[in-house]
This record gives sequence, C-alpha cells and structure tokens, in this order.
Amino acid sequence: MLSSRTAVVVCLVGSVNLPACGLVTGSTESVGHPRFENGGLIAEATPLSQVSARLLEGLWEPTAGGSLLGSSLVVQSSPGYVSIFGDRDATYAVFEAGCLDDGRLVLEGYHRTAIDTSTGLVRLFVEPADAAQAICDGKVSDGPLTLEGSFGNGSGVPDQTLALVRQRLLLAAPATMVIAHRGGCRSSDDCGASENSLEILRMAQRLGADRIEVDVQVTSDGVPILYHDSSFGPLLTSGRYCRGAVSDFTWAHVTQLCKLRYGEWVPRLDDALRTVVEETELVGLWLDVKTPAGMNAALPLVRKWNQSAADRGRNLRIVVGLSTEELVNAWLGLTDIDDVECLVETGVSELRQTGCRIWGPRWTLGPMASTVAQIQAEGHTVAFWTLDEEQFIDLFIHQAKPNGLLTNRPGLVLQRSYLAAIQAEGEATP
Amino acid sequence: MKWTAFTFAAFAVLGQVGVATAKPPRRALEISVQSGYGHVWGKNGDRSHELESRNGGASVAVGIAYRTPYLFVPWVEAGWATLQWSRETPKAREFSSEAPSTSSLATAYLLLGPSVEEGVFRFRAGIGLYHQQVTSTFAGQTITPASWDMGYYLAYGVRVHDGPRFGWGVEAMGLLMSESQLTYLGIALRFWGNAWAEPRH
Repeated sequence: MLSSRTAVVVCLVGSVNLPACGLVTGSTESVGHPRFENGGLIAEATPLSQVSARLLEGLWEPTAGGSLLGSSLVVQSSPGYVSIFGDRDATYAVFEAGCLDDGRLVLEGYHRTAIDTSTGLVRLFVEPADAAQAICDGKVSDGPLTLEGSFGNGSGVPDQTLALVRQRLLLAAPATMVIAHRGGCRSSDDCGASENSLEILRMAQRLGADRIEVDVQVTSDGVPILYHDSSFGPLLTSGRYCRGAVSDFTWAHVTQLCKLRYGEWVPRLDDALRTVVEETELVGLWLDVKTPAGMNAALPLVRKWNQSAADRGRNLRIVVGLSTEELVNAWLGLTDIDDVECLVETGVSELRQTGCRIWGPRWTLGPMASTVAQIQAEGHTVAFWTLDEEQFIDLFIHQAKPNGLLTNRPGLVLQRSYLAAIQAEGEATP
Repeated sequence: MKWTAFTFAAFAVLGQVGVATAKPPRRALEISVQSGYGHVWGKNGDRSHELESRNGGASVAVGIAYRTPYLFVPWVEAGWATLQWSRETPKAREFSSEAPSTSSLATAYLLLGPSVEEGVFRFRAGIGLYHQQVTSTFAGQTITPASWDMGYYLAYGVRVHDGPRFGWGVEAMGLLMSESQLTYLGIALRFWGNAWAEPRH
C-alpha cells in the first residue's frame, strides 16, 4: 500500500516528465522533415526549371522498394518541387531537383507516411544519363525513364534501394479538384507546418492540392485571421497565455501571446490571401468563415485579392463558404455581393436560395449520386468534405463523381483521382 | 530529488508529532481552508522576448470532507492558484514601438474525489474542472480571456494536530491540467474545523 502511494508521489514530486507518469493525455509534439547533411547534393546543383520538372511528371511503377510508396505512383511538379504520391498508407515524397555539373539529375527530399509519423530521406537520380541531360536542357526525352536511388528512416543516410519506372504521362489535369483542408492538412497530420499557416499555404501544392480551404475567425478588434477553433488552446497553438476565445483577443495580443504549433505566426486573412496570390499557383481558395462577423470582415479582402489575382492574370477563385443556416441567412441579408462567389455546405434548398454556384456537402451523408448529378446538371459544382481514407475516396470518386474533394491527404486524393481517370479513359477506349 | 527528500523527511517528522497528539473524532464533517505555494511545469512557448517572469505562486482553497472510521473519505474542494506571470517586449514588428506586455495566468478549480487515510496520513485523488484565466495588457488594451480544462488532483498530507474540534496539517499537492499540459506542484498548510462530529469512544 505504502509503496504504491510512494510511487505516485515520486512521480509527482520527483519527476518533471509527467506524461511519462501517464497523467497527461494527448500529444502536441511536431514531426519535422529530415534534411541532408550540409544541404546534400542539391546544394551544389543548378535548380531544375519548372518546365524541366514537368517533364518528370507521369504515372510511375516501383521496380524496387515498392514497400515505401505502394504501386501506381503519381509524380507531379509544383514551383520548385517534385512530389511523388503513393497509395500505401497515403505515403508521399517531396523533392527539390537539380542538375549537377557531371550531368546527373538528382532529386533529394523526404518521404512521409500520412497515417503515422514515419519519415526519412530520399535521394533519386534520373536514368539513363542522356535522358537526364535532356530534361536538364528542358527537352522531352523519348525513351524510357527511371528514377533510381535509395531511401532511409528518420535523418539516417538513405540505405534502402528505391527504383521507379515511368509507365505513362499524366492526363492534362486531375479529373477531381483536390482541395486541401485547413490550408494543406491539419496540424495533427504533421505535414511539416501548422494548419492555417502561411507555410502550409506555400506547401499545399507540394502535398498534391490545386485548391485549399482555410478557416476564418475574427479578433475582438475586427481583424480576420486564419484559425479553425473558436478558442485558442494548446492543441493548435503554443504560448502560455494563448488560451481562451479568439473573440476575446485583440490582433496585437494574438501576435504577442500566440504562435501556431510549428512556431509560425497566426496569419491575418489579408496576409494569407497575399501569399496565395503572390507566392503560389493555387487555382481555388475556400474561405470557411466561422461567423457572420468573419464573413463581413472577409468580404472586402476577397474583393481586393480577387482583383489583384485578375490583374496578375491568375486563374484563382476565392470562394466564401456558408457552413451554417446562420451564415446563409447573413449572406441573404447582404447586398452588392454579386461579385463574390459563395459555397453552401448545408442543404440543396439553401444552395438554390443563395444562388451560390458550389455545393459542399459533408461526406457522411453518403455519395448521393443522383442528387449530385442533378445539382451538376443545374450548373453547380459539387465538392464533398472531408475524405481521407482510400476506400471512401474511391467510393465517392466512382459513385458520386463530384467535381472536387476536400481532404487532409491531398496527395492520396490526387493519386486516386488520376487512377480513376486513367481507368475511365481505358474503359472508354474500345 | 532534494525537494522530494525534504518533503518526505518533513512529513515523517510531522507525522510523528501528529501521532503523539491525535485524538480525532470517529466521524466528522470537515470544513477546511488551505493556503500554499507552488511551482508550474509545462510548455512555455516562445520566451525569447521575456524581460522578467515568475513561475507559480500562491494558492488558496476551501473544501469539505466527510471523515469516516473506514478507509475512504470523500471530499470536494474549490480553489485558486497563480500559475505564471511575465513581462515581454513586443514580438511582432508592427508593434515594436509598443511598451512591453504584462501577462498572467491563474486557474480556479472545482475538484472532488476520494481519499485514503492511514494513521495521520491522508492521500487524496480527485478529478474536476480547471478554469484558466489570462490577464494580459499590451498595446494599450487589457484582455481577460478564459478557458475550461479538465484535470486531476493528487495530494499527500499529514495531520500535525487533530483535535476533536480543530486541526491542522501540511499537504503536498499537485494540480494536473490535462489539455493545457500544465502541472502545479506545491505545498500547503491546511486548517480544518469539524462542523459536525461524532466523538471517538
């Protein structure tokens, strides 16, 4: 009896590692991405141009090391990066690519398994050498193309063989819009940056998204910020005084007391829209405004950055999401909003009532294939939220045939979407 | 470890004193007040702009316990503890001309649970709610956000004097706030009176 009491007291008084005592639940540890020592070979390489990086895109199959990524791998480029998306445990890899002085084309980066915290370094070389040289020169290589190299675990030197061969080119674009949840993924998914941060917006395309969804809350002094919950707390933020309702904080206090989980600033919506317009090639932005106050605060910024995107010749649609009846009613009470696109997450009747062009039903309602087809026939776009599991992604893509899916695993949705399109293409070909 | 050793040594000595003077009632409804001082362990976030800070501080509590001749003694307690205080220079460039911020974190709590008595020692374990209260002044404005958290309470105490009407003792206590991952460890003086008592025959 006494010994068990002593154990509890020693655990309390003698140890500062309280989670080890089993008394504290939940984890807010972050998973960082490993990096090659001294910057790796990429540090000495000439960065691959985006034109050249696109020449690597396609559907690839592993010939060695298939246990890492699975089969039917989608290789896709984004500004400054090349990504590989697999279906085994929603694993993906993100690379920087560059041409070395000796003519080799190297890809260096990390792999990341979405279902757990597994990660590691990957280094691949484009083979054969003449194909690598052609791609570095921005020329199409006609012959077979392979990626050969190795991968490792954690920050250890890659020591397991990985080899891929390209099977075919990709279609012009994925058949399904890939909309990344909370700017790219949730903080709890450990994509390498916090949800709703400027960093995750910059990463979203590397993760497989062509569109993103972000959440908008408003501070007590009327500044719209990117943040999901109605309250600040330790699950999404750090900072001993960063707790309590967002609407109780001034913007000055947010900057002084709060950082996001990976240490980023909590961004203002204005800064987030500037980042999307000026630093990404994303083509869609879904603003999940949480309150009517947030909607009213967001509208001038939507107009401002829609105009800026148009001035830059950007094909970008910024859409205001209406997720509750309260928001639908607030939207219906507004005037002069014809220039702002909206998305309804509630019922079909609200969709028609508001005149919004996009319907965003939650996936737990089921595929609703006939309703989706009817809504699409009326000229609407349909995007379900939020699908992360492969079997449900496949089910919805094949049965509901929506225009888009909102997901925390954009790479997986992209891979499944391409495969579905290729399958449909094969079925259509006699 | 010094802190642990000191706590156990103090309790052993006080326990002997308690045994020598104890003549407690058989049953009693104890009304108690306690006051103490403690330290906080937990994640602090970015402290790079800190000018000065205080970790932990005073705590006060009032409670009710129903003392029985058996092993288990139910109790309920409401209290308040200061957790953090600091002064920090502005972190964001746009507010760099502002005066340093002053911020504090405290918690009020309502807890209940059983306790186990063995001689003059009492071990208490509880569960309940913590209401975390921030006060922060920066850029000409003061905010007072608050949030709820669930958590636990563990305490190990000794009765130094345990008379038929009044008593006092010392207690080592731990407030464990679950979601916030904060733990306040402290030591407190505890005074109680018996609102009702059945004398020991």
